[in-house]
Amino acid sequence: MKSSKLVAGAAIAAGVLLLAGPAFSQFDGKTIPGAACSKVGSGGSYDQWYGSVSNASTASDLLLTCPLVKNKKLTPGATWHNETTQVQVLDRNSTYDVECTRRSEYYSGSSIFLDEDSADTNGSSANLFTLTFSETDAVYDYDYVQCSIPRMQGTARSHLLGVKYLGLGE
Amino acid sequence: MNLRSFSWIAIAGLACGGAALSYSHLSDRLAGEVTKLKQELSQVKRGRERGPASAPLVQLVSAAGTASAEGAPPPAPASATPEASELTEEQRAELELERKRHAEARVELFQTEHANEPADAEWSRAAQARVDATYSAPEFQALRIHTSCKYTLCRTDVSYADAEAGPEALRRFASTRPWSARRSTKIDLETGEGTSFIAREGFDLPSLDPKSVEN
Repeated sequence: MKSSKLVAGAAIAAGVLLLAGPAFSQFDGKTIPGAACSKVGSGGSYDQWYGSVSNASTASDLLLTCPLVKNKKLTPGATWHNETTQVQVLDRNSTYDVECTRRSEYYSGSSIFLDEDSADTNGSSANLFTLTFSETDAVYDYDYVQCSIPRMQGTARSHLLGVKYLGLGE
Repeated sequence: MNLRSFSWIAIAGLACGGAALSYSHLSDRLAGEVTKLKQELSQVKRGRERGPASAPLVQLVSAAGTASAEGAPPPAPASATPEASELTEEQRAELELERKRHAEARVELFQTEHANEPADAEWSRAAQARVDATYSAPEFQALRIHTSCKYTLCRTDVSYADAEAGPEALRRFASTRPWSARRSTKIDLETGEGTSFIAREGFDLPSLDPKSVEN
C-alpha cells in the first residue's frame, strides 16, 4: 500500500517535470541556405546553384560570411547560447579545402572579445560534407560563419549548401 | 545409495556450487561495472551542466537578481530570463558588468593555463614556426607580434605603433588563423594591443568554471 502511494507520487512528480521541462529547455533550430551568405572581398566568383553558392572562378577562392540570425531576448540568457553549428559543403577540389570558421563577438568599451572554432574538409569528394562546430558561450553578442570555397578544379565546382544551428528557445 | 552414486552427487553438488560462486562473482563484477558507468554518466552530466555554455548564462541571469557567488540560487530556468525592459537601469548596468567580468575571467584563465603548462619542445617549436609563418605576410607588417607555444596552447601578443596601417592589420590578424582550431582573442582598440590564444589541434581551450568568477 505504502509503495503504491510512493509510485503514484513519483508518477505525478515525473508528469509535472515532463510538462515543465520543455518550457525552459526547448531547442530552437534554424537553417539558412548558402544563398543567404554574402561574398567578402574580391576573391572568387559568386554563383548560385539552387539555394547553394558555388565558386565559379578557376583562379581564386571565394570568401563567404553567413550570419547566424537568432531570436534572442535583449537580456543575456539561454537564448544567447548556440548549442551547435553545422555547415554543409561540397569540396570538389583535391588541392584546396573548404575552410570554415564559426565566430562569436562581444564588444565592451574599447575591447573586442572574439571566440572562434574552425573546421576544414580534407581532399575532395562528390558527396556532401558536414563541418561541425563547438557550442558558444552565452557572453557573446552574435555569431556568424565564414567559409573559404576553393576555386574550380577543371569543371568541378565547390559549394556551400547551407548552415544549420541549434540554440535554446523559451 | 552406493559409493558411486554418492560420488556423482558430490561432484554435481561441487559443480553447482562452483557455478553459483562464479555467477555470483560475475554478477558482482557486472554490478560494479554498472555502478561505475552510472558514476561516470553522472559526472559527465554534471560536467555538462557546469560547462561553458550553460554556466555563464545562469550567472548572467542571476546577476540581475540578488545572487552572490557564494549563495547563488540553483540554475534558473531560461524562461526566468527577464526581458531588458523589465530591469532597472542599475540592474542592466550590473548585468553588463557581470558579462564583462566573465569575458575578462576567460582571458585570465587562458593566461594562467598557458603560463602553467609544461612545454612540449617538439610541438611548441613547430607550432611557433607555423604562427610566425602565418603572420609574416606583408599585410601584418604594421604589427609587432610575439608568440609563445607550450603544450596545448599558443599565446600571441600583438600591438602596433603605426596608427594608420595598424588597425586594419590588427583586424586581419584577428580573422586569420594559423591552423584549424578553437581560438580566443581580445583586442583593445584604444591601446592597439591584442592577445590571442589558440588551442593545439585535437585539444580544446580551457573551460571556465563560473564559480571561479568573483563578483
